[in-house]
Amino acid sequence: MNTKRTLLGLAIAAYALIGCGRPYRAATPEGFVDLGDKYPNDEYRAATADGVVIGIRAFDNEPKGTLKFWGRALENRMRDMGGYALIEKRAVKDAVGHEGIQLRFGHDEGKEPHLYYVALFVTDARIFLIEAGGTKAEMDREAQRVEWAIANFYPK
Amino acid sequence: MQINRVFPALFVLALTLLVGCGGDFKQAHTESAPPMDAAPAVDVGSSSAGVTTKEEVYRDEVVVAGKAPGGVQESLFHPGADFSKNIPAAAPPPPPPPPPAARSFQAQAGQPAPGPTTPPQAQPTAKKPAEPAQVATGDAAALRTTMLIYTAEITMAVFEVNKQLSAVETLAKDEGGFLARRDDASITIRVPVARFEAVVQKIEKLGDMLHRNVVAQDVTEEFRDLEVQLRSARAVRDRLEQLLSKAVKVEESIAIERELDRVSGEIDRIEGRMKFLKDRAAYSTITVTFSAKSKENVNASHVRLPANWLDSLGLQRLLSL
Repeated sequence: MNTKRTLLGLAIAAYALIGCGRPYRAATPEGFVDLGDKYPNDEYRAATADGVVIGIRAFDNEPKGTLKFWGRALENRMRDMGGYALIEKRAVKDAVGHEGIQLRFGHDEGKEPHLYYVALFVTDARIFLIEAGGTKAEMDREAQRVEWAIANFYPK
Repeated sequence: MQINRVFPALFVLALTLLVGCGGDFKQAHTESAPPMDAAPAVDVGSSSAGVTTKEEVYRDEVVVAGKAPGGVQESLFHPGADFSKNIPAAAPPPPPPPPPAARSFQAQAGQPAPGPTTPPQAQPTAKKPAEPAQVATGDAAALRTTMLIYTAEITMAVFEVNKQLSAVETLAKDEGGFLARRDDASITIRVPVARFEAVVQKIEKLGDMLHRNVVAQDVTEEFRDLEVQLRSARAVRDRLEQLLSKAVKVEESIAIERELDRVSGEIDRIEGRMKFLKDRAAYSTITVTFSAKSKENVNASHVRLPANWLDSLGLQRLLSL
């Protein structure tokens, strides 16, 4: 009995540990592979065999800003970097109904056009960044799966 | 008795001779149509060195004209005269009383002349008082129309550059314009001025516009000035051609031709400039440049927010697995 309880407790703890490093729960879409915990700062990475990558990061909301503020800051920073053309801005929602914003950029690598999407969710405590990128052709092919990953993102 | 008859007869004969001689002289002058504008327009009485007064010119012409038929035309041409100078509007001082034969000179003096033609360059002088009225009526419509040259420079963010360059080129053709220049990162199109604004708006929707600069250059004044200059130059050219046809001496012909060349060149230059302005006004110029990095930093955020994650954005980091 004690052994069973201990084992159960360990299992629960293990389950919690796997998730507790990240202040969110990522959903890996079909056709993508979760690349594990090898990335720093609890970053989630998943990729397709054809080079489309999804990345999720969380940061402290310091200095405290709203979704509109950080969305504008992100847009300005992308412009400063240069080489990225803002194609579209979209309103997005995560698994719990939080409203976020997605900026879609185009980028030419030589003659190969690429797409880079950045979705932003902001809470009082944290900023969640969901990136997706790859060649335009592959991103167009995986567009729905990328949208699914965002719609099933669960911030803790 | 005989003396009474002779004297009147002699008087009449003398009078006839005098009138007859003057008439011939007048006819010679009329046919040769002296180039009044050839004479430097200076006041009578000014006797500075190197400056020939009108009175002196008149005397020379009268004296020489009396020499021989050929001498009439010879004397009436003043080599080195600047044909492009307009005769000043102010009426010159009254000339010395001329013989009846030189009545054409009186035209230059501002007195009515029965001569067949007044010099072309005198015409602007005579017409000057009428010019405002002419402008008010005939050219009023032209003056009210402004001539604007529209130019736009648009900078777009780089993405699928070739595709966007082709889209801009197609847009130009669809709107009745044409391609002026195209390279790997920029394109210049010319579109009808009526479609300028619409085309600029359509180009902005093709991609991510970083910067736009639209200039409207008003060249109405310049065009109007060129029209006036052209009219004057053409009048001078026509007059020179008339003089050339009447020139007798080789030196005269060479000098007139030289001046004619100069005036013709001036006409070509003016016409060329007018054509250029008309073309630029009729078709506006739009240049679209695809810039990987904004040179003017129009949207640059001058404040660097203390958020390190903003420095770790982009495909390079994301795709580095």
